[in-house]
Amino acid sequence: MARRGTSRTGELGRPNEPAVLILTSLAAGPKHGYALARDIGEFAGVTLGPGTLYGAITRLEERGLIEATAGDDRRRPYRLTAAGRAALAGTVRDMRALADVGARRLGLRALLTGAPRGAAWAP
Amino acid sequence: MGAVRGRADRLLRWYPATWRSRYGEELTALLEDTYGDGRVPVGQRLSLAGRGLHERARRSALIAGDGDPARRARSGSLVVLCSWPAFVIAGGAFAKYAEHWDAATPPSARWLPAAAYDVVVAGAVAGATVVALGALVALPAFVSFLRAGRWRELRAAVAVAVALTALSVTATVGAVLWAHGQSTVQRNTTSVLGLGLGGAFALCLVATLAAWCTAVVAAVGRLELSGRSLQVEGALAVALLGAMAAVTAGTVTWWAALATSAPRVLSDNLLGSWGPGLAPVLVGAGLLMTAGLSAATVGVVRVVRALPSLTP
Repeated sequence: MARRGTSRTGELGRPNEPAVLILTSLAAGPKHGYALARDIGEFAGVTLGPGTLYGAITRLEERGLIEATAGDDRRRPYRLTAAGRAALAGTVRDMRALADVGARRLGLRALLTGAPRGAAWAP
Repeated sequence: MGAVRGRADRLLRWYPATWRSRYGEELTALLEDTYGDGRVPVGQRLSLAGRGLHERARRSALIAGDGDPARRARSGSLVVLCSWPAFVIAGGAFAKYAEHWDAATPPSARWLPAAAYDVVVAGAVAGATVVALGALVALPAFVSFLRAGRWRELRAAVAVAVALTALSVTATVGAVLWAHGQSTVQRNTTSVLGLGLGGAFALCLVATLAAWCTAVVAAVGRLELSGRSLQVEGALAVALLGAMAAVTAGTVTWWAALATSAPRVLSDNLLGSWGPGLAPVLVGAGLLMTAGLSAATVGVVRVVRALPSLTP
């Protein structure tokens, strides 16, 4: 069983971990809490509750992966740091490697060659 | 939004003050944006309470996270230390329950429960010694902490613990005086008043232990412990787990041996029985020991994983 923090999908954990979702959302630009929750709901179909969201934001900020930007104290936007960008890139590479293994074993060649998503599921 | 703000303020009380001062306004704004004037769903309120308590535990060094090995080793040792009071309570209940057990047991059936009882006593003495050694190892860091003028950070937690200790001591003296004023028959007769007073006394002792545990966690989380000290504390945590395992094994063996060879010792016990070999006090003590042992195992696993990465 893969342990948290040392899994094949990088130091941030599984793809649906709040930390990965938040970093992925911030990769498109700075956002405050509510905008983050909405964006994650749209691109991942995952609803992060306020407690979960701010628990993850606390951890990410402590680890220096995100930082607060100047702005309204009550709706403070966060952005990726260089370390956060590198951590997310590492996680995405690991996820891609895992997806490639799955695709190869399922014979989904189109996914491996980077073809449009609709074609990916045709063996 | 006033009602929402009031509700948010109540929910935020679960979080530690330092966290609230940094993220409180943002979380309140998120609750306002998400739920408007409507109610925050019960599931989310429970989630916020859980996260707030988690944050409190994390800031008290009881929860480690995945990073710094020193923090993980310290938190693992603290988890083991905080499991020990469960054994103090369970061991106290067992000792009271097992009073005079040998007098009511046939000589031929005594050797196994006697050996098991000795294991419980030896485990308890070993555990108390290990806890005292752990305190000695942390003493220099504690003295440095006090010399740095940081006593006020612990004052509230220690004051609560001292007040509860005073209450417990008063209750103990009262109980002893009351017992001396009773005849042997009166003392050994179960009454509602006696059970009520006994329950209140037990609660008082549990609250005292919990308060000291809280104070110790608050103190240890603030100490500057060297890598060498953390290694020694880690080794002591492993030893304490061994003592807990011995106490648990001894208790279960004593119980099983008497249930098999002298069940009347259990069924006629003044502290009650649920049937042949099944005593509420022993069931409670067993559950408490199992919970303590499980938590301590989690702590020791954390310590053992962190120790190789620690530098003295």
